[in-house]
Amino acid sequence: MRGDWLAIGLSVLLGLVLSLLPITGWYSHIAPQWLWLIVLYWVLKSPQQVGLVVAWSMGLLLDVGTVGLLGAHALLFTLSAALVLGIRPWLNNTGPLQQALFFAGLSVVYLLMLLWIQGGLSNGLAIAGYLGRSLSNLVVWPILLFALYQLRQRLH
Amino acid sequence: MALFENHRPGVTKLLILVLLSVLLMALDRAGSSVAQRINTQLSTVTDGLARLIAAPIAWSEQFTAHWQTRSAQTAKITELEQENLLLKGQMQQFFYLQTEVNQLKTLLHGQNTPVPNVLLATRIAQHDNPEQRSFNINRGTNDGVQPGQPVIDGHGIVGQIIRSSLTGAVVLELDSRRQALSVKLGDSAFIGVLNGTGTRNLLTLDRIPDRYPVKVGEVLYTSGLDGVFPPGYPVARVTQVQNERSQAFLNITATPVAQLDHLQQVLVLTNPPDAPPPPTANAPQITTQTPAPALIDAGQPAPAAATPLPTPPAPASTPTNSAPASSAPKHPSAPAAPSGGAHAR
Repeated sequence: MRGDWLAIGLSVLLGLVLSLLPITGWYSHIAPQWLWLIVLYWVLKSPQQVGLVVAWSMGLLLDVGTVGLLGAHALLFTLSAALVLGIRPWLNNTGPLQQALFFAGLSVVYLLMLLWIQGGLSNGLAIAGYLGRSLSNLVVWPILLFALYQLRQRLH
Repeated sequence: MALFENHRPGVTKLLILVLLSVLLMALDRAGSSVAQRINTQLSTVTDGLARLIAAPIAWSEQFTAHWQTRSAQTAKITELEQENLLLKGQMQQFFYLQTEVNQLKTLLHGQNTPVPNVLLATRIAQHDNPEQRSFNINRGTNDGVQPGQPVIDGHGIVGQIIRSSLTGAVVLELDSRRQALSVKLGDSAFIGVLNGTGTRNLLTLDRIPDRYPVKVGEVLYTSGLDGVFPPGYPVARVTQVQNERSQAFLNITATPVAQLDHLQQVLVLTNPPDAPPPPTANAPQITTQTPAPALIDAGQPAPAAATPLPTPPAPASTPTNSAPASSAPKHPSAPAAPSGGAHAR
């Protein structure tokens, strides 16, 4: 147990150092997201220790380290970790190549979302206006659930 | 078997963390003090890590310097000594002129600009994203570095500090999309706002009335009106002037004078001269406290120039325009009337 924590701590620190390296030139365009991959590995392999909260705090640390918008990486780390936790049995059964393909695909979504958060939403009011739709979704869903349930009951 | 156990995440926990992230983003965008405090405290960890990473690079540079040949080292030292002497010579004249300008400004409107403190810092890590370009330096709050302070290099303005922690600080570069500063157009005392674009080395100056004769190659200087950058520092050189006939405005693009691609060492102006002057503003006293330690010996001539002060009563009754001309006829460049006019506010 203690060895596990040591391994987790050391590898996460290594990931953070690799993400903060002062990189220039061609490598900066192809540098893997070390911290993200390492955190997702631990989420996959030992979910008792590394869960959503650890993923969130590592994302926040990366936000601060890379001088980005506070909370952007934290949000995406949490969502990726939640997805990996959700399909963990399936991911553990597939081979390394399939896992790599899955993480590559997930990172495409991750990077697009990050670009969108950093570049697209340039003021707070826009965020509020944009997220208003999701709030109304929240309100509509129970109504929809009830209405469609009633519909199914009637037609049955 | 632990490998196949189901660890589906709790929806409540996920929701709380997601909402927390969104809240943080909104607070950060709004520039809230809570977000800033979190940022400062966590950045003590990450800036420390960045310094730790940069240490081996610095050691390797020292190592190669150690193995340079002796003749190369002595040649370098001689070259630097000569350059140092030249600069010191220029600084003597500068301090003399500074005293004189300050005296004249005191006569005009009782305000003068002390020479700012400069702090040498080394760039240790670069961070680029579509919205902003920034880099870490190895000086932090312990050395007096505070958010908002201007940063320059040997050529001109580089940017300003956006965050400082115990272990380092982050400098936002001039060409970031969120950066803007107030500049003066050459000889005409027109003030414009120079914006960063997010594209490397590209700055824009929009909506300048087309009666101002702006030429390609002209250097833009800080005006001091933004209250962040002290007046008179070179900022950018005009590269293109677009004259849209239909709009009666000029669209100007410029490129920074500072060499943003080759920054190794930068200077932080830790005591912005636009800070309100002490109540007993007296020209010679202010100039003798020139704080940069390395320049104090060059600043010595200042006390000697205390004699011409008794003149103020006379010009106070006469129109202020005649004051500079009567007190300093020898130096036609000394009456800083145009810049003094732009400075008054």
